Amino acid sequence: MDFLGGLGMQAVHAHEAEMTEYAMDRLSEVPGLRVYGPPAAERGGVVAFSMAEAHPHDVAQILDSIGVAVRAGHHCAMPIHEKLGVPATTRASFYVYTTTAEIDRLIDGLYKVKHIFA
Amino acid sequence: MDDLYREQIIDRFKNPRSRGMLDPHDFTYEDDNPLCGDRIRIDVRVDADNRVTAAAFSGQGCAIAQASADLLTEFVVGKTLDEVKQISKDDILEMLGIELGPVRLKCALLSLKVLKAGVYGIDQLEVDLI
Repeated sequence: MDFLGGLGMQAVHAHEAEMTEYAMDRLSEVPGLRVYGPPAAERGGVVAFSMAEAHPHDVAQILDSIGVAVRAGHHCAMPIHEKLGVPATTRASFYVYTTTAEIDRLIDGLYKVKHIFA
Repeated sequence: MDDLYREQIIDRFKNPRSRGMLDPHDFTYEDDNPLCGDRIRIDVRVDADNRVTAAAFSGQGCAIAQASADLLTEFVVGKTLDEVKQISKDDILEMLGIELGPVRLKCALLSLKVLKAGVYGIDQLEVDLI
């Protein structure tokens, strides 16, 4: 609490919003990638997505291999995945310590997925 | 970790040898890993000696789950149901040729779980008939 109070919660929110917007911009560049949910301004620091080429768990595993940690699966929200007609999604999340360089690394990893499953 | 996506696994995922359904079949079973969304169905035909003459899988899942199901359904053809019951986790890992952490192990072993449930189901039926 002292740590977050020292940063200021408005600054925490602002950084998270900035990272989320940057990530969504970069994700939109990746062909065949689908982002679920509202635009950046209307969401928290999480972005769930799927790729045409590979299953969400395979995407997560390949990202892990280059040091990018994401979650894959239903994220405790199985009904929405059923409604969306997808077996699972991959989900990246951002917080006060996330940098744009890390998001760039995520994007590099997604191109690696495309290369492996091409 | 790139070893996980060795050529064999990607090849099996993209070009499965035994994907499909068998109609008719002697037994079938389907199950899933609810937390990750993998779902596999396996259909099997056996002859009068309870030896597998054909096996096929269907369903959806990650590359590890699909490659494992494809390798397993090919592996069991020609084996008796008693031999199928002896197939172990290590046999699957040997077929895949990779080492897996606990989370992905569930993907790799789903097809074996499905197959064994099917095999034990048919045995149960025989017991009931005796």
